[in-house]
Amino acid sequence: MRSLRATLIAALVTCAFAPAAMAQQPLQARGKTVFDHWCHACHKRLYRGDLPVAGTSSLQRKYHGTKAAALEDRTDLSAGQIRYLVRHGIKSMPGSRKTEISDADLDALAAYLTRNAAAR
Amino acid sequence: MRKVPGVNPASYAQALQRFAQIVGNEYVFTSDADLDTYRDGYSILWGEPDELIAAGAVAPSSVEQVQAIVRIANQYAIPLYAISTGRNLGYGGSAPVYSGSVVLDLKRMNKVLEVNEEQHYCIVEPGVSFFDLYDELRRRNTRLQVSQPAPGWGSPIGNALDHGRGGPAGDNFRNACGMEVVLGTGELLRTGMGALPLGKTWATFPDGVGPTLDGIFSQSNFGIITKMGFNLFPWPDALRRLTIQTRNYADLDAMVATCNRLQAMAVGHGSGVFSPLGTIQTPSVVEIFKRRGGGTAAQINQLARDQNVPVWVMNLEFSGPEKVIQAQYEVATELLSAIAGLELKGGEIIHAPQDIGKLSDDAAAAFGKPSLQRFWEDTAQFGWDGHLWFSPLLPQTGPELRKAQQVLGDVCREMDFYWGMPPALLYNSTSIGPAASAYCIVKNFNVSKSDHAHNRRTREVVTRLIQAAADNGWSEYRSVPALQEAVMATFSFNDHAFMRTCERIKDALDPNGILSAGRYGIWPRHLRKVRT
Repeated sequence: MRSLRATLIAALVTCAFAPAAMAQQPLQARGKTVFDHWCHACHKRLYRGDLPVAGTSSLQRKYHGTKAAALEDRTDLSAGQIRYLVRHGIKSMPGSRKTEISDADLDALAAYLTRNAAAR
Repeated sequence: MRKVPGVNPASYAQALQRFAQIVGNEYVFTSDADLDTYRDGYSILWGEPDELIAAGAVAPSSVEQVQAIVRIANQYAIPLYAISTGRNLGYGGSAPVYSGSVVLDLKRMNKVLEVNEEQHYCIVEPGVSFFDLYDELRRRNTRLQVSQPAPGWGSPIGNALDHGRGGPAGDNFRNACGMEVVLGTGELLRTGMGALPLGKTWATFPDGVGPTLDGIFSQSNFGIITKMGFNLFPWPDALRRLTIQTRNYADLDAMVATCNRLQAMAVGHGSGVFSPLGTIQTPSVVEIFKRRGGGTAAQINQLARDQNVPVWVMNLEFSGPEKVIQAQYEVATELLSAIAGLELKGGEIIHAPQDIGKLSDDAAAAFGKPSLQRFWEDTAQFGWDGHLWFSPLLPQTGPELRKAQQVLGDVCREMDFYWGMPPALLYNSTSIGPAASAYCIVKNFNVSKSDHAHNRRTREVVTRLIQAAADNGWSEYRSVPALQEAVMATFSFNDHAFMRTCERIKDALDPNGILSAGRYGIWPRHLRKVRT
């Protein structure tokens, strides 16, 4: 009985949030494709035995685990921050041009990387 | 709207309108925000008044659009600077050599036009990156790899045209075959067998008939390359590495000589010589390397003992059918065993994967999966904003390598720059066998985005290194825009006959001097300085 009630509540919660979340899904999926193509090489999740990479390893060193080193695991990123860093670069990461990542692709990337912050 | 030198703003505005009619407003860039993305992020002139910057950018998507833009640029005297992916960081980037040029950004020309699995070649456009080409080879489920440098975001065309190196080919320019070129007049040229209208061997036979013109379009500004063919490499059945190391400084000469002999017999392919001490910066190591000459042989041997590392390490790779590489491995170990004191370590035999997707990125790299891992090794691990490469070529012998480490190291030490013991990579014209080859010391310098004084000193030390190298018969093979002219000035045989010939070609193929002015010191007639 308790589990049925939990299921019902879960269903209600899902329904309440479904339209907004569903609208975000195609954008986030496109953002994941952009991430995999443009960001993954330096910002991928690192597993035991992997060689260090410029993005993830630098962020690991910067935050000492107080924030996730892999961007896909961050919960505190804002869309504005992502747009700024992609266009301007930071440290040894160069900025990206619109012929590489279009403004629309950048919006999608921002939606993908802020999905955890939005869900939080 | 920024200014183009020598062009009145009204003419430039008209030219931009004409560009927009060709490519669409969306792909003509004039705002500061957009043009800032065309700065060279690793520029040794970053933030200084003479930083090399673009006055605009235009991004065509086809050969016809490139031709149309070049014709308009001729009409309005607009200097263009062509880039492919603009990621030649450490040797250049997306910024022009002649400040105020309009960048012709070819990134949108990103089609892999052909992949021929049976004859293992491809034909690509300039905006294709090594990542793109790898993805296409995987999408087609081939067992082929492209010869590539360490960074995967570069363009096979851009890399080859800047004489980039990589594996398995070694020399990525000589691994190319056939090109399509838009000349400075907008005329379209195809080289080699591409000049035959129905030519079927454009990407498999490089010479065609008559002179081989391809070479003049590398490290130059005589044309814009819009297509290029590349040989691809079938995955070897098996790979094995042999690591050769010694704790004795004096063993270098014999190690190198023996590896050269193996190379001449096409037994294995080498990657050069490095010293693990070069990657250690503890106080005792730094103290020795800061001494004039970089320490004596005895001091270096003692350091290696203290640090428990070898003084010198070389690697030989064997690739091919397992039976063949086993025989090669035996020949190599037999010859090398004659040198007392060498340690030989054979790696495991690695077989070509059934499914490369199941390998880790690092394991897949052996079969052509590109990465950007070196940007951690070369730059990010030090917290740098960027790097600049100094890369002189020298004879492939132990004595010459030892001398270069001392002489070039002393130039750095005199200006209080740390030289250490940078690696010497083996640069050969084909990856295996007795073809011409040399060593290239690769030394990276820190580029700062905030400390202009440091960057000025770095420019000075590298300028001194260029001269010291030339005085000893060594030279860089490639350089950043800010220093290309300084390197070219040392190529002065017979009153700069080489540059004077380049200038005659420039005037013939690009009579209005529109294309990539100043690249590798080649200036169009109207910007040429009096040579002293």
